[in-house]
Parts: sequence; C-alpha cells; structure tokens
Amino acid sequence: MDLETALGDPAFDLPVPPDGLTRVRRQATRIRRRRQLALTLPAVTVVAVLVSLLAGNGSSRTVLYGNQSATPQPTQSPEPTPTRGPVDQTVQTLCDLPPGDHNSGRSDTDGPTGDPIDNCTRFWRYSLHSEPPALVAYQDKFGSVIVQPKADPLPSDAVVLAAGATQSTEAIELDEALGDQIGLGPDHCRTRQEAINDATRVVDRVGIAGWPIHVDDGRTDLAKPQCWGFAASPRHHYVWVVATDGGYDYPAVLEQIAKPLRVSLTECWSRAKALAEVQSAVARSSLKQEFKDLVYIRQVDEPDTKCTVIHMGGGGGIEFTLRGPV
Amino acid sequence: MTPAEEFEAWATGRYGGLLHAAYLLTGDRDTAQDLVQTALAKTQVAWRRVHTSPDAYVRRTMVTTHTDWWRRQPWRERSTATLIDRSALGDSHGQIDDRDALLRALQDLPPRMRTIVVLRYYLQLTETECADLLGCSVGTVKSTASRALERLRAHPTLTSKEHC
Repeated sequence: MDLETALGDPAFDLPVPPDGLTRVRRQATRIRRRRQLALTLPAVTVVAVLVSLLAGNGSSRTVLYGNQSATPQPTQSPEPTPTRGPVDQTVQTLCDLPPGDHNSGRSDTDGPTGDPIDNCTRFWRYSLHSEPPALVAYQDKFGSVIVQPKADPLPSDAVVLAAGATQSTEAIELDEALGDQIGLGPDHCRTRQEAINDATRVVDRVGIAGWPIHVDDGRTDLAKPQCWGFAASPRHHYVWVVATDGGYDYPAVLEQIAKPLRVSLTECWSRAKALAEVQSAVARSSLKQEFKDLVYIRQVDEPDTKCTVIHMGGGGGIEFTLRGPV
Repeated sequence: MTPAEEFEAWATGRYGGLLHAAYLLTGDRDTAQDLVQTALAKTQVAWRRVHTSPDAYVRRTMVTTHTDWWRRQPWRERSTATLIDRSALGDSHGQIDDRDALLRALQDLPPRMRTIVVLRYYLQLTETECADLLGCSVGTVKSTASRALERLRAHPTLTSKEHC
C-alpha cells in the first residue's frame, strides 16, 4: 500500500455533522463581530449610538465610516424615493465593503469629501486594490448613511441619496476630533462634567465656530452606572453631550499606538513626519497582522496650516486622518 | 444563486474531504471538526473575495489555523495512548491496525512535516502549491517531505507494514 492510498483510506472519513453548516454560519457571524468589536474604539461606539439617537432611534447598530461589514440585506425593496441636498442627520458613513483581507501600508492622499460615494470609492480602492462596482448611498431608518454596491439588495426602508447629496465636511472633521484617541487620551467612562469639558476642549482645539455644546439631561431610560459621550449633530448644528449605556473596554494595543503619537500635540510635525510616525507606531505595536491590514490612513492637504493634526479613530479597523501642510 | 447559497453549495461538497484531511492533521475527531468549522467560517467571511478559488483559500486557512492552534496550545503536541477512535473508523478488520499505526506515526511527526505529508500525499498538491500555501520554498517542501517519509518508514509502528 502506498502512502497516497493509505492516507486516502475512506476509513479516515468522519461523519459530517448534520448541523455542520449551521455551526459554520454561527461561527462566521462571530468572526465578523469579533473583527469589528476587537477594534471598535469605545468612544466611537458611543458616538455611533449617539448618532442613532440623534436620528430619533435608540438602535445600537454601530455605523462607522470605513467599517468592514457585509451583512446582506435580505429583501429587495421597491424603488425608494431619492432625496437631494445635504445629509443632515448623521456624520458617519458605513462603507459596506465585501469582507476579506484588506491591505495597508499605503496612505490615501485625498481626505474625506462631503460625498459619501466618493469617500467609499477611495476607501474601496485603497483597501481592496480594485475598482468598486457601481455604488449607491442611502439613509437607513436610523438616519445613517450606508454606501454599498448597487447590485446588492437594499433594505425596504432605505432612502436612496441622489448623486450630489452631501455631508458637511466641517461636521466630519469635528466628529473625527470628538472620537480621536490621540487628543482625548485613552477612552474611559466619562462623568457628565468630564464629557462637557472634553467636548468643549475638542471644539476649541479644532477651532470650529458655531457649534455650541448642548447637554442633554433628558435620558431617563438608562440603567446605572452611566457613562457620558458626545457627538456632532449636523441637523442641529451642535455638539450633543448625553448619557449612554456604552461599555468601556479600551484595548491596550490602541494605547500602544496612540501614546507615541501624542508627541504631535506638543511638537510641530510635517505631514510626511506624521505619516512616518503613524506607520511606525502601528508597525511597532502588538496589533495582529490581520488588524494591521485594516489600518486606513487618510491625508488632507491643508496648505494654510503649519503643523499636522492627527486624528485616530475608527471601528472595525483603525483610521487615521492627517490634516496638515505637504 | 446568492453568495450565501453559492457558499453553502460549495461547502457541502467539500465538508467531507476537509474533515478527512483535518483528521489526518489533528488525529482527533473533535479537533478535526472544530478545525473544519473554523476554516469554513473564515472562508464564508471572505467569500466575496475568494469565491473564484475557494479551495486554495480554505486549505490555506485550515493549515494556518491548525498551526496557530499548535503554537498556542503546545500541550496538544503530546502523544496520547488513545490516539485513534476505532468506532469512528467503522472497521473491525485487520486493516484497522494499519490505519491506527499510520495515524499514530503521522501524529509523531512535527506539525510542519505532518502538514506537508497531508498536503502532498492526501490532498495531492504539487510541491509548488505546497510551497505557495506554506510560504516556503519548493526546496524546503521537497526536503521536508523527504525527511517525513524517512521518519515514517523508520517509525516503529510502520517498519513492518511498507506503507511508504
């Protein structure tokens, strides 16, 4: 008997468990969740919850720009009514990429614009090294903006955004700063006053005028203990501070990356220097390679500024935005 | 056919073969089932990207997952006296001793050698495919396979059975 025959002996066949594929499906769901949750920054999770609340719904669905999610919508809807004009309910966009291995190491040189399809197209090219198919942007029932391939089924309550629908770039920048782990330090469960202080500090640092702090003491449905968070509300044009029931489990590896980058708060870095430092911090960290591949670095050219501001946030991956001079 | 249906049709067809390979790799029924389940789940997550060549992806995933388990759980590497589950083989004839011996000898190989044996001689991948999958050179595959065969030939349980 040769080795091939011996190893291929049908006696080594094991019975396929009758619920095998069901277990595979469950585990696949856990893998997707774990990939997202492992790197979902708590502050950003809070922001996402707030975004849902701002849209008048308490859903805890995490909706983050650049998130890697591929939950197919089950049914094809009738043709939704397109809307035009500014997208005023939410800041963050879910760019619904197909799951799989993403690649990092390069950086995207065009920062976020107000066009969610344009943002997602660039993210797609960067992450998957391929041209995306035709994309469609819609708002879901929570007011969140989702971008996905046109060929994928839409949820029945989707409101498709017509070409030209825009998000406020000012709100996007403010929202980035409100979820930033470098400027705000390691995330933690904030008291009401800490949340007000931090939100005020961010608005001052970003230097955006006309965005007052609005403290919402109206939530009575939360079980204690409560943590307080904040988010930009483009609809109301204020920074909303409110109690949440979010949990806080700040991954140590994120602090490994953020800590050396806090030097940029006191030193004046060029964008090239900032990019090198970000890449170095990620490389030196104990972040597993599969998550390093989910790191996304955007650069925004701001020729009138002298120093580069680095924002670190994200969900499902780590996203850096470098705003500064060339 | 939706991607989910496409995946399930493909996975249904591959499940048995993957279990067989996983059993040879792990020598344990439960671990083999866990390994296949994990490899298929990872493949499902990556389906939209890998659906044009899922076999290569699932094999790679199974091998890397198995390697990862060994690294993290070195206790698995200890040989045990009850390696084979005879009831699983559904065979009470003399051949069972041969299979028992083969499985035992396989488990006594270092993990990488065992993986190369399974890839080359059960899944019948070429040396180039093995090298690509394991991230090593073709020369390494050749030499490792050769040393693995020598060790199997010299294994006490196989010395009189001429498996190789």
